[in-house]
Amino acid sequence: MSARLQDINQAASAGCATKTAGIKKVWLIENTDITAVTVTEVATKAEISAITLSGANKAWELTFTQDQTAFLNQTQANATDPVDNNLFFSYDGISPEKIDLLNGVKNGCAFSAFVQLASGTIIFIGRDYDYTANTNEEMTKPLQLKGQVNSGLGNNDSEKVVFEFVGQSKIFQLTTTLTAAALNAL
Amino acid sequence: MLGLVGNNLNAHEDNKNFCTVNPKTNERINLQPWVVTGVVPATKSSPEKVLIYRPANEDDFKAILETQGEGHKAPLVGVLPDHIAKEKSAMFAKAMTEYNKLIEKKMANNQAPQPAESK
Repeated sequence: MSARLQDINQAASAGCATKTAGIKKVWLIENTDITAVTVTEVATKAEISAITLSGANKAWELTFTQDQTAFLNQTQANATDPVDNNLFFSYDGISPEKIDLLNGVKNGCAFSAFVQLASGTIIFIGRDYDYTANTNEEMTKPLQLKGQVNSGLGNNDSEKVVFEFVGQSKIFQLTTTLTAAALNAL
Repeated sequence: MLGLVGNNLNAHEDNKNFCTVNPKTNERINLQPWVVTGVVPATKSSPEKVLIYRPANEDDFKAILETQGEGHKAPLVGVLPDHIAKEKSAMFAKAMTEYNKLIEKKMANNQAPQPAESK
C-alpha cells in the first residue's frame, strides 16, 4: 500500500472555541536500545503499533515547563525536500541533574522520541516507513542534541537548560497506538 | 506457538531482549523466553524500584498480533516453525519458574517489616 490521497473533513468550530497546542511529555530513547519497531497500516492510516527495547528502563520520561517553549515542528524547507524534525523543550533553573542529563544526551549519537502533544496525540519521531514494503528503518538523520544552558538576562527572566533535538526524515513522522500508560511502563 | 518471526526469528540465539508491554494490560513483558530485570535508582521523590519483564506467553503474543494486524508484510510476531517452537517452549518453562521465584521474593520483601525510623 502507498500513502493515500483521501478526503479529510473538519467540522467548523464555534468562534470562541478554545484551542490547545504544544507538547506535554517526551519519552526519549537511544536508538541503540531499540530492538524492533512495528508499523501497522490499515485502509486509511499507518501507525506505530509496537516497540521493543534491549533492556529495562530504557525510555526516559521527560516533563518540562509549560510556558509556550516546548514544541515539535516538522517542516519541509522546499517542495520535494526531506522533512526537518525539530523537538524543543526547556527547563527553568539550572541543576547538576539537568546538566548531567544534557551531557548524557550530548554523548549519544542517535535518539528517538515519543512526543505527547497537548491534545493527547502521541507521535513517534525516529523512523522512516516504506509504505510499499511495510518495513521501517531509522530515519535518515536521527535526532541529535543541540543543547543550551542559559543564565537569562535579568529581571523577569530565568536560568534555563534547553534541549533541542534536530533530525531529518523521508516522511512526516507517524502517530502511535501506544498509550501514555504503556510508554510509562516500558 | 506464537513468537518473534521475520528478521528476529533467531534473535534468541544472540540473547537479544525484546522488552515491551502487553498492549491490553500494560504488563511488562519480554518477547523472548527469559526474564529481564532492571533497577530504577531511588530519586528524591521515589524509592528504588525493581522492574521485572515476564517472558511473554501465548496471550501476550495474541494481543500484539491483534495490534499488528492481519497480512503484515514485515511482522514482528507470528507462528513459529516447529523446531524453534520446541526450543522456545522448553526455555519458556524454565523462565517461568525463575519468574515465579522472583515475584515471590519481591512480595516477601514488600511484606517484610520496615526498620523503625531512628528518632
